[in-house]
Amino acid sequence: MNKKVKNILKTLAFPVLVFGIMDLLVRLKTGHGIISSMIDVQSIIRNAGISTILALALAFNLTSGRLDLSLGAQRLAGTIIGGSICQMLGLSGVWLLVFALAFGFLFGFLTGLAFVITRVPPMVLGVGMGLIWEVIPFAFTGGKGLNLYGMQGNAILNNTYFIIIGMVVIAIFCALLMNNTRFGYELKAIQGNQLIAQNSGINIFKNAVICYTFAGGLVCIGGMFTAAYETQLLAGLGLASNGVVTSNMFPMMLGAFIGLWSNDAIGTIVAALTIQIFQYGLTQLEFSTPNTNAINQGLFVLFLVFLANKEIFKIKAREKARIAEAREKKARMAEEKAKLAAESAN
Amino acid sequence: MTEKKKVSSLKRFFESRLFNQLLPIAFLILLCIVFGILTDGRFTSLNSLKIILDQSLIVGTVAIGGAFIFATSNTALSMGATSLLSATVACIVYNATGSPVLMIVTAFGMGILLMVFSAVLSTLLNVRVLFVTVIMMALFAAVQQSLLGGGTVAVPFALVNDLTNSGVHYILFGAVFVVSIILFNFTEIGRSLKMIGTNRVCADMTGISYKKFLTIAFILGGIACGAGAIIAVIRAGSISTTSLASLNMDVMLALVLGGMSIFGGSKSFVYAGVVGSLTVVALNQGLLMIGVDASYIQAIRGIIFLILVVTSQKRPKGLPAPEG
Repeated sequence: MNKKVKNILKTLAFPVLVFGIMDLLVRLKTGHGIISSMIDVQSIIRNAGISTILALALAFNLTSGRLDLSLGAQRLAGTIIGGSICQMLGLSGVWLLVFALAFGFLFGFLTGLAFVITRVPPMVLGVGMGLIWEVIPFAFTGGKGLNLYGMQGNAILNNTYFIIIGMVVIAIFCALLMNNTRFGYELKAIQGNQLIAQNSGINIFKNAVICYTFAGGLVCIGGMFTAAYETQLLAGLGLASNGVVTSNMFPMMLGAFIGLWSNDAIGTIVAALTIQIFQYGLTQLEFSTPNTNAINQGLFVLFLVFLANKEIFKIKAREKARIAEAREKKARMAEEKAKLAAESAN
Repeated sequence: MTEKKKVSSLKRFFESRLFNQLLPIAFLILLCIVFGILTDGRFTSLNSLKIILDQSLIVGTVAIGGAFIFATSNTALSMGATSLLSATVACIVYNATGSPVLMIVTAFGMGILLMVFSAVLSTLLNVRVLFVTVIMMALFAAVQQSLLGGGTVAVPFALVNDLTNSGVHYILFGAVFVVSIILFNFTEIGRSLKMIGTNRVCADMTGISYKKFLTIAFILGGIACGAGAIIAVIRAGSISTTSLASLNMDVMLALVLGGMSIFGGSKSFVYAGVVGSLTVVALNQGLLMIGVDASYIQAIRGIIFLILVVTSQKRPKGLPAPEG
């Protein structure tokens, strides 16, 4: 079979298999499948789309070992401030996305700038910046956050086709950025070895700022889609904002794994879709939200254990073969030595 | 030449372990003096200081345990969730048995069990500590919500009153603090953990087992989480899904504000969490007393946090290590 076809089949196997298993379980329990109306399809696609965008945002920094704990706060700040200014200007619809993106870029850029200036570890910096960013939308809106209820012209943000197009455009953009640009090439070099990359002339600081900027922009697009669907996005304090972003680590990591047969962007879309189908199935099986979250996180742990140990059996087998070969050689040498001794004695 | 020598010795002092230890304490004292003056002595009254101490007990206790993990150059983000789940199970056990002793034993047992579970994932199953703690943060919170089903678990007021009057929360905090100081500064455990944080390869070559000592650090962290859980129950009398919501981040904030080296190693010290948690609470209390809007306090905390981190740590030439 053609390698390309094989890769496509392997990639698609994840959502198809999960859909098959969950559909069967739901049918056994309720008598109908996971999908009983268009609302189910829309719900899965919307959630998968938002999850993909957040996972792609996380990937910009996490693949270089940087966990930005202020990403959730940037999402709140960019979405709420961008959306509020849009409302003040009497704009709606796609403009909400444009403003959220612009402010997301701004907060991401400032966080990246703070990172390269202070050079504080990303997680520690993320806590500090998160504390600051959360306050800005809170103070800007008097603690109310962004309210889109009753606002005309926002229907497009809830349109399933628009979300699909948005998700695909972002995924293509990310794929091109990572695989066909100098920035992506340099990012891969930095992921390999930062010191070697720096010594070979790559500006690691500029690259990090760009990563933070793109991540900030993407989380705010995800934030605006969520706000449009839920008609609001509350401003919160206490660093609770990072939960939304860190919960998308699973699709990001699974996406990187599935991406081995295509690329990271396609892998992330497929991973987000797979996880959404699984979660939707659990909801249909009447699992509560905390139970669904617990199962999801449990699976994530198992997946990480698999990733960390998938080579262990191969390594052990190689080691076993090496020891067997050494023993065999030793025995052969001993035999030859004995033969030589016998010959010299004769 | 002499001028150059003076500058270099000053630079050495700013990068020294002593400066790291003194800066947060000096900052805390300065904070108390400034707020004392600005509030006409109300801030430094005995009652106000007792409130600050009481409010910092939970974060301080848990952060003491966190210092052991931080010392190995790892970060424990799930200690808040561990404390929360331990407190919830301890309350459930008390309501089922009516035994305060069993409640306390359960809290410690759960704390240790949950942290050992995290340690096993990192040490035996090779998952990065960073990922383990992020996942455990969400997993333990989800399990706690499943147990409570959105409700609250409370212990009788009489029990809370008895435990408060007998000063159990102070005893627990004091015990965790003293034992940790001894373990961290005067035993092989503390020395090994700091050595691992300073240079893991070197530690390995000198026969210090990373896996063994990381597990010990997590166990000690679990004991602190158990103590923190009991103090939380004593202070609130009940546990809900929103209890200890910010504890995960507060522990990290307190440790760094208290002067703990963000890279672990020899510049780590176990009382950083206590100094840090006192600073956070004192800052909140002081700013509120002088009339700063509550929503701005968090941003001020963030700015001070970053200033302290930047001034107390040596700036690396490249970007910080890829482990977060």
